[in-house]
Amino acid sequence: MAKRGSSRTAPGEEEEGSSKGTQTLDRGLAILEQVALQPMQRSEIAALLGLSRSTSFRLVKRLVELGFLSQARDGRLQAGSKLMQLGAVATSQSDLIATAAPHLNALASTTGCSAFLGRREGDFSVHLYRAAGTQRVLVATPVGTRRPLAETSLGKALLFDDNLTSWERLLPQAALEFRFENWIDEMIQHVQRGVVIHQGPPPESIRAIATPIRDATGKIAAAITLASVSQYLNHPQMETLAPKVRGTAVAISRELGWTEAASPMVEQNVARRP
Amino acid sequence: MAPGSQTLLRGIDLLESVAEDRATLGELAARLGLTRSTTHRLANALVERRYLTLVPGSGYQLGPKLLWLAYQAQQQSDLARIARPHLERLAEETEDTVHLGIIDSDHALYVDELPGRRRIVISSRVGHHLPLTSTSLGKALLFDAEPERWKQLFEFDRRDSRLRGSYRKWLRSMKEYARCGYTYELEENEDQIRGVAAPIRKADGTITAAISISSAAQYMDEDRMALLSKAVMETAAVISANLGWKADPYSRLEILSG
Repeated sequence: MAKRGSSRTAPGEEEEGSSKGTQTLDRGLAILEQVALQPMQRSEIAALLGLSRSTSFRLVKRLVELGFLSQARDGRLQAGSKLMQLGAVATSQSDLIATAAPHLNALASTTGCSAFLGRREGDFSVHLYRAAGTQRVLVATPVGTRRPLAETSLGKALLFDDNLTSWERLLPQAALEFRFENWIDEMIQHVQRGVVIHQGPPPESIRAIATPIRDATGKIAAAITLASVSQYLNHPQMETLAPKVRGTAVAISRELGWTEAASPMVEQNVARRP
Repeated sequence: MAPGSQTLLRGIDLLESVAEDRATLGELAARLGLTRSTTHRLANALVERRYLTLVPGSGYQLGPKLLWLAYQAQQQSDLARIARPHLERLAEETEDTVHLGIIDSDHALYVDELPGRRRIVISSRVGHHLPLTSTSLGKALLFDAEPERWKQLFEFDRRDSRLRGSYRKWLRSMKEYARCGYTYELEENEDQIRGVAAPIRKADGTITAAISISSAAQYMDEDRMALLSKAVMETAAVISANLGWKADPYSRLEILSG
């Protein structure tokens, strides 16, 4: 509970007794987040956040005055126009490549393998960024490379949310050497584990671990992959590195506004299957 | 100031300042007239809750929580949720900026936006209240309003000296728009910005929202705007149908001949 009247302290001092001195800010933001999840009546907020009625009413009043909350016709509080404006600015400033690059650089330097970012464009995967590894033989797919989705590790990760019909349509677009017999069965396994374990055809025999990146909408926005040649990346090593690749994807997804609560990173695709 | 909400106000000032332009701690303190330590404490709280991100070497920028809040806010509205996929398709087909808006306190409130993909794009309008009588979206929202309300809103909007033109001329164009089922914005709201809009109706037939396609004037010559008017009406009709509206077959004939 805020100490009343204590805002009349010296300029620059904070008014409340919390250790960090940012208690009303924290509470105000907590209210915003609750209302964004679910529009609600003023009276529900206090109980939900464990605030006194007077504190919650005062903060809500402020947030309404500031345009961060507004009141719907049924009296419930909802996101206000100012919050929508800030969200739009944040969205327009959000940059997939700039967000992913430092994470991929770190992944490449700790593993020695090359790390890539790619996005779906229609029926293709397009490489957007490459962080070069430190190994003496490196996968060097250039940025801008466009390949049928079913051929690449990135492409397969980008297809996690597609259904079986879509996979069956896209598979014939891949070159023959990428269309091995149990492609669909392996995809189901990849989706279930949340990572693609990719074994490319000879002569390169590229191996890769790929996984999707999700954004605030919960949808797949891009994918990352960690790739190397078979002498550097054997199967036990791929198993060891898979959680690391997923961890990197989760970190990038979070920076794009994704949260576990809104959309579990566990893919629902397989569950939809007959 | 009311007691006990100072840090909330300052924290939000800080957010809005970063929204204008990313900034270092020193810059923020100067902009807001706060001490470095106060600014640091507020910024830390905002970073902790992911409203801000501290980028080493370049300062604070808006954080992922705002992306999440924007999406959640959009999901709260049935209208926005239903309209979204149709707006996405329209944006993809046209490469222009596509908006969804409603009437809110005598203005057009822009509630969703699909940014254009052109080399020149228009600035964001989401969350902004713009005049009803000078935007294509606003005019479409007014189709069914009484002429007295048109006049009243026209005069209300013209208190802003930027907006010009006579009511007689405006009224003539509005009647024509309402007859044809779409509206134009021909740089009267903002220089160099043109748009085409159509209303969305719900089950009871009343106008509940409108959608628009906007771009810089160089992408919007007369022929293209005529083509876009068909696209925007078709998309508006699909969204209306999804809201339960059944088009009157005779009014469709008029749209086609108009």
